[in-house]
Parts: sequence; C-alpha cells; structure tokens
Amino acid sequence: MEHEFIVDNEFVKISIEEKGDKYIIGVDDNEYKADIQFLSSSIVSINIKDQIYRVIIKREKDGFYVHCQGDQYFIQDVDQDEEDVQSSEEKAREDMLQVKATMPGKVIKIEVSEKEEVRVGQTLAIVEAMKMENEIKSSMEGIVKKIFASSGDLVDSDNPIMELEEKKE
Amino acid sequence: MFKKILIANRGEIAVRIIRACREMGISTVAVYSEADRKSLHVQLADEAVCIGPAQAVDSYLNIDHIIKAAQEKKAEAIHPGYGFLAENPLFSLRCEKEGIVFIGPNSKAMDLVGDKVRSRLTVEKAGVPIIPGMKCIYKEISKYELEANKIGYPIMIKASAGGGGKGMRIVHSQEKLKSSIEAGMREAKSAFGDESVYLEKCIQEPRHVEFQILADNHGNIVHLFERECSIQRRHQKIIEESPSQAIDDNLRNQMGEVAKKVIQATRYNNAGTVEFLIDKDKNFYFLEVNARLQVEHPVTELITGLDIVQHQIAIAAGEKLGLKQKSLNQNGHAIECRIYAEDPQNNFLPSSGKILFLNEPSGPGIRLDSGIYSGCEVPIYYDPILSKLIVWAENREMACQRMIQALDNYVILGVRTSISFLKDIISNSSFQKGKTTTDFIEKHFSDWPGLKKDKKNRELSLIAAAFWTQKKGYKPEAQERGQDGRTFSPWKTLGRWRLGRSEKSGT
Repeated sequence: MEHEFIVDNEFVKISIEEKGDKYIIGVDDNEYKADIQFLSSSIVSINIKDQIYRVIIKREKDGFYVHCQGDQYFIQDVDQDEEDVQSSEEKAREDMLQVKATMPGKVIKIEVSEKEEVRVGQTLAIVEAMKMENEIKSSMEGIVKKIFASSGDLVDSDNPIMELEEKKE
Repeated sequence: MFKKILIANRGEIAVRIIRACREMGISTVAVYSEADRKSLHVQLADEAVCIGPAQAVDSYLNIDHIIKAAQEKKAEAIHPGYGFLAENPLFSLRCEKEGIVFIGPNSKAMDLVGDKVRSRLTVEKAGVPIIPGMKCIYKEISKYELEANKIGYPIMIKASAGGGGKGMRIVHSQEKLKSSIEAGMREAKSAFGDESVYLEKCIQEPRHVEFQILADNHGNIVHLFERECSIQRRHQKIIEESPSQAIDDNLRNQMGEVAKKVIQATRYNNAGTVEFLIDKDKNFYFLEVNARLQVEHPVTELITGLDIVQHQIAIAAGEKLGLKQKSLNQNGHAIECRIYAEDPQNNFLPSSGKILFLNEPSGPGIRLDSGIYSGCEVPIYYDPILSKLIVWAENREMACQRMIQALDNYVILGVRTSISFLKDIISNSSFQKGKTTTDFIEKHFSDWPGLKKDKKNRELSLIAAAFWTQKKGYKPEAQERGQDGRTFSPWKTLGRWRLGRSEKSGT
C-alpha cells in the first residue's frame, strides 16, 4: 500500500507491502525488510536486520505525533480531497487574509481599527500566552475588513482575530 | 512542628513541596485557579481550595484569597514556592500580621535584598566585592574619563533608564571612550527618552555562580556550596550544575564565606541564594540575593544529600540548624535541565495543549521533578515550565552522558518542548569541556537548529505512521466513541475497549 505524508514541510511517499510475516518498505529510495509489531496502542517496535527500534506514535486529528530515539516529528496526513494545487494556493491566500493567533492566548491590544490600511510587517495585535507577549504582524498589504476580538478576549489559533482584504486599486 | 501547610503555588514546585510535607507527616493544602482543577498538585494534596479565575492576578497573586484559604483550612504556615508571591514583602508581612508562618525570609530582609541598590550598599559596607562602577551621571566627558581610569578598561557604558542592552557599549581603551559615551547617550535618548549613562567594569567571559545558603532563626548559617548557572537564554537559566568548573576548593571556600557574610549583613533567614558573577581572572562580584527556594535547588540536594525544602520547613518552625559547615561535603556531580513547554524550532514560542503521551526517564542517578501527567492540559496562563530533569553521577563527564540518555528517553507528545535543544547543548563539545559562560547560547546556538535531525529516525517515524495507517491503529476491530460522543479517538478511552462495535473510523 502507498501512503503519503507531509513531514517538516516535505511531501513524502512511503510504501508498505506485507510479505509473509515481514513487510517490505520503500521510503526515500531505500528499501527495507522489516518485522513490525504494535507493543501497545502507542508503541511500535520495528526490527530491521536484527536492529530493534522503538517508535512512539500518537494519532491526532490531522496526523501523528511521533518520537523516535530522541527525535520528534509531526507527520501530517495528506488530505485526499485537497489534492489539486489550486486549493492549497487558495488556502495560503485565505491564511493571509484571516489573522489568527499562533497559539491560544489573551488579546492584550488590537493595534489597528477597521478600514485601516496596513503594511507588510505592521503589528496588528498583541496576544499574551504564558506570560509572553507576541506581536501578530500582517503578512500582506491591505485593509482591515473586520475585527472579531477586542482586548481582554481569549482567542485560539483556529478562529481569526481579524480579517483583512486586498486593496482595491 | 507544623501540622498543616498551605502551598501557595502550582506545577512542579507545588508537587515538590507536597512531597516534603508528606515525608514530615505534615498535611497539605493546595490552592488552585479555575484553570488548574485537574493539575497534578491539586490531585496530590490532602486538601485543595479554589482561589479564583485562571488569571494569576486573580488567583495565585491574590493575597486576600490565599490568606482566607489558609485561615479556613487552619494552615499554620504557607510555603510560597518560587515566582508568584514568593518574593513579595507585602505577602510575607501580611502572613506575619495574620499569625501565619511564612516559610521564607523575614519581611524586612526580603524587602532589603529585593532592592538592588540598597542591598549592594549594605553588603559593600560589610566588605563584599561588588562590580566596580558608578551610579553618578556627569555632563563633562572628562569626569567620565577620570572615573574610567579608576575602574580600569574594558569598561561598560550603561543607560541609567536602561534594560535590554539599549545604550550599552563596551569600551576597550580611553581613545574610544568619548565617542562611545556620546553614541550611548544618543541611543539611550531614543530608547528611553533619557540620555544619562553610567560606567561599570566590564566583566569578561562572565560565569554565573551562586551559593545556596541555609540560615536558621538562631544565627546559624551554612552554605551548601555553589551552583553554576551560566547556561542562560534571554537571561533565563536553562541548565544548572554543581560543582562549577570555574572554581577550585580555595575559591569555593572564600566565596562561601563571603556568601555567609551577605546573609549576616542583610539579617536574612531561611533558605536563600547569593548570586555572583565571576570573570575570566576569577574575580568574583556580588550580584543579588534570591530570597526564595530556587528552581535549581535539586542540584544542591543531589550533591549534598540534603533536603532543602524539609530544612526550610524546620527552620520556619523555629528549629535549630543541625548542620555544621565542616561536615558538609560536595559529592559527585549534578546537572539540571529545565523542561519548558516551548518550541525551540519556532523562536521558543510557548506551547500549550494536552499531554498525549508521557514517558518519564528513570534509572540510577535520575531525578525528575514534574508537574505533569499523561492526559493533563498545559494551560496558557502561567510560566511554561513542565518539569526539571536532574541527574547525578560520580563525575561531570558521566553526568553529561547520563543526562543525554535521560533526555532521549524523556518523551512528551502533544506539546512542544525544549528537550531536543537541551540535548544539543549537553552534547556540545564546549559544554562538555566546561567552557560555560553566560553568552554560551548566543555564541554557540544562535543559529540553532543548524543540525539536521537523524535521517534514520525520520524514516523509522514514517514507517511507524504508515504502518499505523495501514493497520488502522492498534486493535482495529475495537472502535469506540469518545465519552462525550462527539469526538472519536480510541486513545482517549485506552483500557476500556468495547469489542464488536462498527463505528466508522475517524482516521
């Protein structure tokens, strides 16, 4: 079976074929013959040429948290429905327009007002999380369309603090 | 001895204090904010009182609420931990007024050591070396020149209103002094609106070395040797160790005696730490007194075999210090790494969320002071410290190796942590040679992560993910809804499998 993932911003294809009690694995132009076993719901033991590796793996909604010998990865699923390139471009554009906090926190200050023109790199809002203040900067030149949060509000990283629009000229 | 103590803190330090109380047969009262109902310290204490909303100002920093909780629960003493109210003289004064014992220094000493200018004046009078410099501001450059000659080059120009390195300049010779002072003044003016600058001796290749002190209420003072805390990021200590590689027995004794002198001069009692800077010529200068139990106290506990928290409690209860300086020894080597919920690959942004998987390292010489458990949430409101990993070994080299292994076996999934960054520091050859100065991170790790992760580990991780996907997880036949019926995750209900359900898999 072929599997596709995104890890460290890289698109990776990996194949696993069952052969007897072993698996033939193709990844990064390498081929391995391995014995793979679940030790528990979150621990996978991989035996390649008598070398045993213990991999810790935790399923989350859009990928896996994985720990292997001191290194950690987030291995993201490739959404099958979103394979066309256009949608990812659209998504990137949408990300620019939708201003979100990088992590959940409290809005300390909104630095702009609606209808205001903003430059690239201009501070839009200050969000505090874990005693650290983070400035949220604009990644585009445009106009503030709508502001959804005000100072004192708690925000998460999924819902936008404000929405920008491109300048109509 | 006390029968009941309230712990006015959260996280790993609250857990640490609860442990000490348990061993002493003292019952414990935890306090918690609304965001911490499920935090570890709340589960471990004998009683727990909610003291307000998530924001620290309304809970952990709310003196009235904490005092009220102590009175309601009839706690005889309060241990403040570190941070929050630990060094607030108003809080210790209030405890004194309400007849509750504050486990820490008396409020007068705390007030004094908290004031940098006053405390430096006080200890200087007692003959303690402080960083040579002047606080006077002049108009004429010639006066600065005279002063600079007195202090000796290289010299540091600092902004009076200063902070954050703005207006700061190093001058190596007299020729450059005038132009540097002028430039410093301009920078200070634009940064702080105040152009005044002063001179201070420039400490070259500075190391941060501090002495742990215990002082009882009867005038007995001992020092428990030093900790070196030079490994800092943005002035925040991240790795601490003892013994320091910078000092020998002779200097150790000398500094230890000076540290005791500081404690005497400031009439300080209970546990405290006297901080020094050491320059490359082994001159040492007093910085300040930390009037609390410190984050890095376990390092000292491992090399001395003493329990500092239990001593703190005994001292606060009025007991005499049974320790004699002569019989104290530094044994082996200890290193501590602070594990923060932050993303070293993304500018050390704090990371919050749920701990999905936790494997804690164990083995000979490994101690973990932790405030988390598998399944707990790391809230966004507080300091992002999750735990402290401390190792002890016969010597420094072995301690480094032990730490690297322990960090490798420390698995926290769900939130980003500083573990990989810490491992790279301990593995660094300059660190292993003991060349630790306060600019170590800036010097060696400013472009981190420069090292690529191990390619093999990446492949193995991908294999595991592909295997998981292909097998649809462990025991694919056992699928179950989450308890609330909204989210599907077989992992949330681990250990309570119901067989034979045929829900559509969320994966």
